Amino acid sequence: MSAQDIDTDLAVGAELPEFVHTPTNIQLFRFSAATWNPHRIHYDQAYAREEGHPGLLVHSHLHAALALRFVREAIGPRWMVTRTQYRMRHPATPGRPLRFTGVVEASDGEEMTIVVAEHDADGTQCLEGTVVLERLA
Amino acid sequence: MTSDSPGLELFHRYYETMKTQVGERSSRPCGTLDERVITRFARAVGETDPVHFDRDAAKAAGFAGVVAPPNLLAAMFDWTPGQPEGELNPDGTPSDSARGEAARGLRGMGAGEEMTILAPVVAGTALTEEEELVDVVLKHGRRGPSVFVTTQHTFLDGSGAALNVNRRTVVMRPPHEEAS
Repeated sequence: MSAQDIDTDLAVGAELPEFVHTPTNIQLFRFSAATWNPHRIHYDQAYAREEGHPGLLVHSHLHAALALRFVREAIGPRWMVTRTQYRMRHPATPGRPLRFTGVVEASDGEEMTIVVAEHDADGTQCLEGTVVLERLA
Repeated sequence: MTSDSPGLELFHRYYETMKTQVGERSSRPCGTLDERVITRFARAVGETDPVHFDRDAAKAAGFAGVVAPPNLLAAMFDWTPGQPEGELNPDGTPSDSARGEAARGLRGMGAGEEMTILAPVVAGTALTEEEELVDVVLKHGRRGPSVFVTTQHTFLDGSGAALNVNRRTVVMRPPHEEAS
């Protein structure tokens, strides 16, 4: 079944299939380049350590982009993201897997709210948020 | 009253500067959203849906052009050509605004965002960004003091219709040596 065939209408409480992704230095560099982001904490490891970070930091917007990718790939293309909110609880460094989980908090067939969490390899929560999707006509 | 270290002085000066700017608004043209900008962003994120890469797939799905992933507009760090390298802050961030200049020497990172997506964003859209500084909050936590700066970014298309309304928070902290 291709992604185009998915037309998921999940019940409240349903869990999305887990998504694990390991950001790499290359991904961080390309994300910085694609967003014209010159902030050194994302590509200059020595500088990131000078700031007291354990290494390069995954951009908050990349965390969010991955969370949004996770939800859309699970739900399928017949739904459109209309609202989202997220909060960064802990930074993450590349080379370590990030695990995305999601639970349907509300659904009426036309609109669905997914509660999303992202944890690092130690089980520390990096991102918490919600994604609201509307069924496309 | 104890005297602050230079780093904390810088941090408190930043907070005082930012507080005076709450409510300030600005507007800037972002140019026309290029298909290549969208496809590169989608590739960097690892998107798999062809509507982000393939014009025909996007059109078959009912869109006027290649579709931006949901937080592309939010994630774009800078819509300008950027400053000459020597003018950037030591951490690489722009210094060409009162806000950027005040942040020089501090440590910043994204803290979260609320996005409302009112319409799909597609290649070929002429964009304007309206920005408002909505909140500046000083907090004292386990890891020392921090300032949470919240800005609202509204992206409009060429007809003036809003595409995204994003409320973004960044956290600013004193220099590392001053924070421990």
